Amino acid sequence: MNKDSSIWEENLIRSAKCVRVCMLNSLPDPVHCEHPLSPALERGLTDFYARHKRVIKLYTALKSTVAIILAAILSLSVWLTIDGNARADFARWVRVIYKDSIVYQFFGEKSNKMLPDYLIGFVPQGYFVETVYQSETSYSAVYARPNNPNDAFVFEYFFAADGAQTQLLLEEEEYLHEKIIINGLPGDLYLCASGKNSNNLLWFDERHDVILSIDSYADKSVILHIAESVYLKDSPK
Amino acid sequence: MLIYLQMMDSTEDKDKFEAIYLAYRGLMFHVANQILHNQQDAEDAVHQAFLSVIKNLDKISDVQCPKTRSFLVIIVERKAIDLLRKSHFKDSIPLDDDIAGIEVPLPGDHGLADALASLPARYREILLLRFDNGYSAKELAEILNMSRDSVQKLIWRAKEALTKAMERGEC
Repeated sequence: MNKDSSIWEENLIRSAKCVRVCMLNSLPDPVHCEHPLSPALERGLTDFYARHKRVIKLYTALKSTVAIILAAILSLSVWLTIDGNARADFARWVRVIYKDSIVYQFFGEKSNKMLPDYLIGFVPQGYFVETVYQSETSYSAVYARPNNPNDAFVFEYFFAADGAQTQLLLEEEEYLHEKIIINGLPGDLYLCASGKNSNNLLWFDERHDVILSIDSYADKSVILHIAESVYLKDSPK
Repeated sequence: MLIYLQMMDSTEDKDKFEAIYLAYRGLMFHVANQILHNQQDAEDAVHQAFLSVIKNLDKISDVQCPKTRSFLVIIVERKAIDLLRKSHFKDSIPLDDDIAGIEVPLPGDHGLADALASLPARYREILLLRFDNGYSAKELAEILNMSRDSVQKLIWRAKEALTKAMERGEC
């Protein structure tokens, strides 16, 4: 991000605060607008609560299944002791499919490592990095074309530690699912059948406990080309 | 509130939610009613907003701070607009981006802040959540129930709209 955009963002932060103050000043003090909500407000809550419970139950069941499988495999302690990297070879996530979304839930200890730097070797012509969000545990970059802001793709990755999850919203669209191998790493590709929503590719670098993803309207071959070009900064391409 | 509370596991969460509920339900109803002009619909919007609050309780650190108040106003404003859009009047309502939410007075700087305050609700909301509340794209995706890609595109479009408003000197 250049200096201009940094100044722009600082101004935006100041202005946003200004707008927030004006917005809140224009509203009554919460103490003075007490409104007893009617019993009708509770309508639908029972259904929601039941659904919430079902989701928790499904999640718990899956988590238990994974725990049992892991426990069984971990009992092979000799093998695990001999080959320290073996643990990384286990699939430590669960894919839960709901009516309107697919959720990946991750298991495993929180990594004390630094988040690796992955770089894209192939960026389709005309795209440039528009925005980058980075934290200690995640990285996300939007690549866009200058004259066509809607034609963007997002490359992101984050630690797949215990409790982390990523959700793919299906938005009532039909998706075609394919198991994919990216440079030897397993992954899932979701192609939106109608083309109205973006396509999603997720793949898993278990050696570094990182999940990577590309979200793009581009077709399958372009997405795979981008994904296959991703490499670790300190490793040879 | 009992059912809301049953949906949470820890005592700390329950206490936090109870404090939010008691402090802001009236304000949230006021905001929703400003947009919907119908008590029952406004309550539905408040209900939807509280369900969203439960799912995103971890993103609220201080119940009493102005940013929390702003967050709740924005959430209920969004739910009210969504409800309005889905209502049986939807065919006569313009595109979502043009639906005005609550009326935000111009700060009076004749610049960026005025332009931001005058943006359509959807753009103003995402920019306030991003740049005032400081939520990441991932957090915003969870709060707004959108994909991260959609959030980042919305931020992009909001910035574009802001730039155009500045260039046109609308404020």
